[in-house]
Amino acid sequence: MSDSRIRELLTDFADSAEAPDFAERAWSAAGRPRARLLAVTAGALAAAIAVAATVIATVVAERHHHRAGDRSPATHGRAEVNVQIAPPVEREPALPHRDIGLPAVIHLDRHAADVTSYPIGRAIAAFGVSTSTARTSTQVTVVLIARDGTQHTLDVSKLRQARAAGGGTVPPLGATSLAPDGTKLVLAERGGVVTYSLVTERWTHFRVVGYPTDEPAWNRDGSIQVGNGRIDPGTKRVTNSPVSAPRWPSALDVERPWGPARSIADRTAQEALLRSSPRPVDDPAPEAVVVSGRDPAVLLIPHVGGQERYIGCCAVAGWSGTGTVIYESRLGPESTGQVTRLLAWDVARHGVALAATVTAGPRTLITGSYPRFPS
Amino acid sequence: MAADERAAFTAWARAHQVRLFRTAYLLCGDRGAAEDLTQEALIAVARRWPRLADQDPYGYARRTVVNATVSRWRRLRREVLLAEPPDRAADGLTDALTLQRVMLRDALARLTPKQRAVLVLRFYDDLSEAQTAAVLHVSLGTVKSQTNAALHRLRDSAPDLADLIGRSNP
Repeated sequence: MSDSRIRELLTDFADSAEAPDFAERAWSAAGRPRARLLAVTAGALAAAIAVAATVIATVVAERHHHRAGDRSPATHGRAEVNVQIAPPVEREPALPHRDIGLPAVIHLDRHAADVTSYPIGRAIAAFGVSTSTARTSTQVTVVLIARDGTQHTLDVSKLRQARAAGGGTVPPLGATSLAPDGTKLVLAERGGVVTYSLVTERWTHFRVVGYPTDEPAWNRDGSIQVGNGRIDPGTKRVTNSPVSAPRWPSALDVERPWGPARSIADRTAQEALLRSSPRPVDDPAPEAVVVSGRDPAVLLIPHVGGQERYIGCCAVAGWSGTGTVIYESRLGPESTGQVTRLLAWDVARHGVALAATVTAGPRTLITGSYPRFPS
Repeated sequence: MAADERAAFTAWARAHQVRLFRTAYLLCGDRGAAEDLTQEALIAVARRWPRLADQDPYGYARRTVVNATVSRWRRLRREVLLAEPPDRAADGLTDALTLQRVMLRDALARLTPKQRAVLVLRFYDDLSEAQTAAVLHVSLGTVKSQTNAALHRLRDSAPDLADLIGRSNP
């Protein structure tokens, strides 16, 4: 079914529906004073973060009018939650560099040898990159970054792609595929998961029934989490092991978490959309990286103009030590080549640094997966 | 609000309301709901007309329709895929075009709300993937995967439709 056929069908179907005249009624019904609407909007945004009104007014105002010349993110400390603002996109390239063990610049369109012909033992990052420049491609190539910065591919083309809960298929590499020590990968496949050891070059398949396999993750004890199930790699048995969602700071009204939750010691970091409904339709929900647990904190993500980032732009990649959150900042537009920056948010010191810049040339970076970052 | 603003708004609305209504109809599949969604969007534009007139009022209206549709889906708790679309009367199906429309309607009903929205925005409103992601407040990857899933599901669920219009590339 080609794109043009789909267009023709949808157009024909839609054209069969007659529309009444809405114009005059709409104008008459719109008589409510605009000022009242603005007041409602401001109140809704303020309610997104239930801290002191004066603090929030400043946060909201700065979120929308952040000046490119500011030297550091704005900070509003409170006992309940420490609210900061991430630097806008245009300032990211000039941020100070923070070494987290990754090359400062990673070009994923370079030639890479198959990892089976050049064993690397351990990877410092794994990326899922679309195999073609086709925009709808869901096939990915897995690119591994070795400790010396060289790139290697892992052939996953023979895996049967897992099905997503909402239909369709998901790429085998997920954000939590790479083991914390970087020596193993766990990949989604239909009917189970499969691990690949970068040390032994061995594939191991695990059949899973009754648990979702599209986003497997490594537990600290080396077992594999699939939804609320836990796979023991030794016995291959799957047992029920529910995971608890992060306990968000009580001051926050979270509409929807995005991406993986990354925990270290007594803290968890995850991207979240904050609730602010009703809101103006041209203003996306406030988006943030949220640290819950000890010393909760929020890093608000500016969406200036709504064009420079995509919603769900800023998945948490992990922690460096116990005080710095590493998160992705994904940029558009796609036509100019996708750029992903790994940013390091020093939660206590209120600073954001640039850790790495990842480009995929004409292809699309689908997923980044990282081991435990060095302190 | 000044008389010239009213005239400008109603002229703009009359030029765009049919397209907006049909987008709403494709998104929700219900004429009555589509009328409500269109009216709601046009009221939102009218309230902001002095600011929007020189910008992109249609884009604003479309976002309002999409957001309201998504909210409606959430209220109805229809984020799960319908295993089977509801039975529908098939009386009076006398020509291939009507049959084709019914098959498309049923095939659309088998999509998840998000797949349906992606399909409508990409292939009826001709938005790019990036624009669709921005309207739906989802990631670019989600638009890609949902587009792919929607096209696959359409092909799988409406083989007769595919036969009727001819098979082609995925």
